Amino acid sequence: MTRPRNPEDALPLKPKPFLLLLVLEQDGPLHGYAIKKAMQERSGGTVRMDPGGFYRLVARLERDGLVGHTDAPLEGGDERRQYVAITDWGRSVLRAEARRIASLARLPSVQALAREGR
Amino acid sequence: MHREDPLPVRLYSRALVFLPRRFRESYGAAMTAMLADEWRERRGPGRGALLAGALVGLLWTAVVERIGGTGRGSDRKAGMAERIASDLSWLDFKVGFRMLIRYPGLTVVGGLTMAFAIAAGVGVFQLITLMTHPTLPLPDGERIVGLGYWDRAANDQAATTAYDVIRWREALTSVEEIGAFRSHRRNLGVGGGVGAPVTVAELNAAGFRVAGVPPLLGRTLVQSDEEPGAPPVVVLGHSLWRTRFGGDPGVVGNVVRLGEVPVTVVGVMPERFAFPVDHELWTPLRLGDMPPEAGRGPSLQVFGRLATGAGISLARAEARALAGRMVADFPARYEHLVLEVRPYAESILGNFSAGNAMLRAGIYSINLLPVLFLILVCGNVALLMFARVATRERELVVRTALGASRRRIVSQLFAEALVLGVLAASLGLPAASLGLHWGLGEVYGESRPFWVVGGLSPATTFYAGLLTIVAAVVTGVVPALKATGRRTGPRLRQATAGGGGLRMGGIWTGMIVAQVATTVAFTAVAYLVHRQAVELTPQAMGFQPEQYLAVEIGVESGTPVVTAGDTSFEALRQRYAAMTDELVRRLAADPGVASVTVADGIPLLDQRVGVVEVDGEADPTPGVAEVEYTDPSRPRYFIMTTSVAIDFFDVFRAPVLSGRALDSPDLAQHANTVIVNQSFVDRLFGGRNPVGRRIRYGVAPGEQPGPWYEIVGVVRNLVLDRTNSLVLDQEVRAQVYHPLSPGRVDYPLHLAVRAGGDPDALAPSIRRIAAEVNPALRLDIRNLERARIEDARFWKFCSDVILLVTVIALFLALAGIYSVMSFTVSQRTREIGIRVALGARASSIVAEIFRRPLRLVAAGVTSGCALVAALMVFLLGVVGLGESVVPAQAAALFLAFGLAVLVVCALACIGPTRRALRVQPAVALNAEV
Repeated sequence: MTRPRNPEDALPLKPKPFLLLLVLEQDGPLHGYAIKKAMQERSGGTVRMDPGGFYRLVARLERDGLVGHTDAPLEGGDERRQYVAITDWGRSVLRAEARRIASLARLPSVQALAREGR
Repeated sequence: MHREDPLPVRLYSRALVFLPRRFRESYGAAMTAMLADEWRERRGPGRGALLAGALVGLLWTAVVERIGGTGRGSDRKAGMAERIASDLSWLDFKVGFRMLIRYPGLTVVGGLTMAFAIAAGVGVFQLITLMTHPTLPLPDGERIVGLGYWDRAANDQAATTAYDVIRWREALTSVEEIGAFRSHRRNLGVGGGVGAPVTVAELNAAGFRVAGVPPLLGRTLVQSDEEPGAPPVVVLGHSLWRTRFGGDPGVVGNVVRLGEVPVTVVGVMPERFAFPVDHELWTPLRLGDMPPEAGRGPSLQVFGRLATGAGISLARAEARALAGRMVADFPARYEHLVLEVRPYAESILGNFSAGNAMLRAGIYSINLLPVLFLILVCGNVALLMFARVATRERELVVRTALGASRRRIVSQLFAEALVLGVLAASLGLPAASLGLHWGLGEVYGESRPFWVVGGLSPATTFYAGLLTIVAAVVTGVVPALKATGRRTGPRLRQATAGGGGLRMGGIWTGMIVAQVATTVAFTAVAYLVHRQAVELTPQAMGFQPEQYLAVEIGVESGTPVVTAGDTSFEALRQRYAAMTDELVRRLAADPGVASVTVADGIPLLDQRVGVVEVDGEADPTPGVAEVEYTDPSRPRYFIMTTSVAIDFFDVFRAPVLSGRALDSPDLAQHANTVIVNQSFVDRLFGGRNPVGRRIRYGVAPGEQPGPWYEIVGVVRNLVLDRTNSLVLDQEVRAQVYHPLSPGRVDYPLHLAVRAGGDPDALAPSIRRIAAEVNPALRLDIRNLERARIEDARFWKFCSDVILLVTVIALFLALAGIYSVMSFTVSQRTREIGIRVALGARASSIVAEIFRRPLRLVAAGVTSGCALVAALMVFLLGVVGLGESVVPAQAAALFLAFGLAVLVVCALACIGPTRRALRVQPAVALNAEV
């Protein structure tokens, strides 16, 4: 799989991949259910995913080189859990997406629309 | 798989097998761990939703990953999943809905048949799950276990006594509460009313704690109720409270009579609570009153709740260690016993797991039958779908030419089939649920274990999803592959020129032949089973069951009648006979009773089997009389035997056909006379008069033969054997009636009461009279008409199901023939038009059009008849059911049926043929351009 050289080429990210990368960037490597809970918290409970859907997403991000696997921290627990971590490439794509969203959000017309919607 | 995972998570991890191997290996374990993590945090109904969502998601992942694949190492197909996901767009499903409306015939026929097949598959799956993985509808029910002994020497269960319960309670730490119970039938008397029997559990307080269900009113049983000298109390079940106390909210504190003992109601349990099995009322089990020695005292059933953190394997290990110590203490008693810890339902209903992998596999494999049936049915629907695809051929060919991939078209047709499948499943699921509710009620009646309930589990709903997908694959993908399999170019030319490029191949032809054959064969089976269902009419029974009540006379244990005075067997028997005589005398005087008689068996209810030999030559009907061929020189026969009062045949209005009726002298001790029924005469004496001949019992090898009994009369047949209806041969068995003399009284006796009016209205006064004779009498009263209906119901059910299947098969066969005809004719429109233009006669064209379907139908009818013939040969020769099948009648029936199928098939061909003949030659020739 050849990756785009420029992170901007991988944009835009859909909400779920974006949230997932955001969680991994801020909280560090986590296992499946912890990631799901963190995504739900950050989205105000709007994200819903079953294990199948979740790992389909992980598989896609992994294929695109945005996330990778890491060893479990030394806390014991269920050895079947897989710990997922963000890659450097994933970090740059996440940052690029964050910049894109922020620049959009700064547009006066977008802000006006958002106010109307309330 | 983790042993600690709860059952639903284990089930989920099993279902991972549907995922493609790569994806499963990469993420399967992590998916299970994720579900297990979430399961632990959720409580209550949220868990059901979680599991259902996870299973649906798993299924979807399986579909998406199998078509495309994003798993590690699948870069070759990278992005396919997304493409397929966009392939299967909402638009496809919308088109699918439109197709349902545009082709209503296919929707109705295909939808109904698929619904029926899905309902059958789902119902069987749920039944098997109920048997192999029952879930207790109690809080944390999966942590309740049953404990009991298995006797290795006797290869049977061994009794558990009070000593064991106390010892286990002290020694087992992995089982935190140990409950014990035993069941009784007791008379419950409310107010001044007459008692009626109820199913009572004598249960200890720990038993209620194990169940963990709070009472609806008052309290459950507590420890102090079990103390010696504690006042007697009962807890009522919900249905008893509703029916016997009118749902009185102030019932707690009332005094009722259980047997003859006044007891105080202390609580009412909520609806559907029937723990430990099917109980309606609970009294305290006083372990302290039972003998404290090992192996003594009444037998108990024991269960417990696994302690927090303990699994069943830990409890088993602990039980093994404890059993070793008990052997050391009491080697004689415990040497052969194994202490078993099993899931609760399994410990009550029987064993499907321990060392029974084969049985389990056998039971699971039953699921294959409905799946095969589904595939067969869907194969039929696929034929109709193929015809529908054929009518849209031009559209498909043009799309292919414009660049649509084969996969794109196949997935669209799959989506259309899936819409039909979902419609079918949404009909089939509620139907299966209703069917289960009804069927379980039929099978278990009132004694249904509380966890055997209708309704469908999440796993079954998931399974229904799988069946739907299988159905959609067969009905959608198979025709689609067939329709898109050929090169586009020539088909484009043909299709756009007005003729079809598709052909009905050998598979479809074979399917139509198979359908017709199945229809004919099913009809034969339906005919046989229907005969069984109608056999037990009042005419066949020899009496009018709607006039009779059967009353079993029991005696309440622990009452003075049993415990006071002389308690020798002979004395008890005399007292019982005296009470029965008194009851008969008083009932006979009751104005509502037309007549009453006493016997140890009542027509339609339980009967005893005996083996007799005949003095001198008999003339048994070959293959019909139940002859034991162990010693050819002394033939012996199975017969049914009943002792009856001398007025028995008057009460049942069964006339004496030859010889004489029973009379008072026959009651003398050495009279040794019997009466036999007509069936006895037919089977053992070839219809010749047996009066004056003799029979005797006790003729097993090494057994002392009993006295000879002289046959003094022959009576008309009365149906006297309910077990008989389980075999196809619904003949009345050979029956011997002995006079019921005081020396022959067996327990329990039965009364047959012929009512002057409505028998049900008579039941309360029978109970009242019995209570006046002696309050210790416990009566089980049954209406014989209902017994007859219950008896026939099983066969009626089978007959109805088979009739339904036959109708569906016929329906499908006709629809298939119709679509093949329409298809063939539309493919040949040009040819027919040209031939008409060239002056061909209509009759020769019609003959040619008809030739193919008629050939198919004829082949089908012939193979069906061959199947039926094989079945007949089997039934006549191997099973020996000669008398159930009337060959001439059956042959005429099948001939008529075969002709009817031919006629109906011909009717199906008329429409398309008329259409073809109306084709204008100019139109046909224009289409050639």
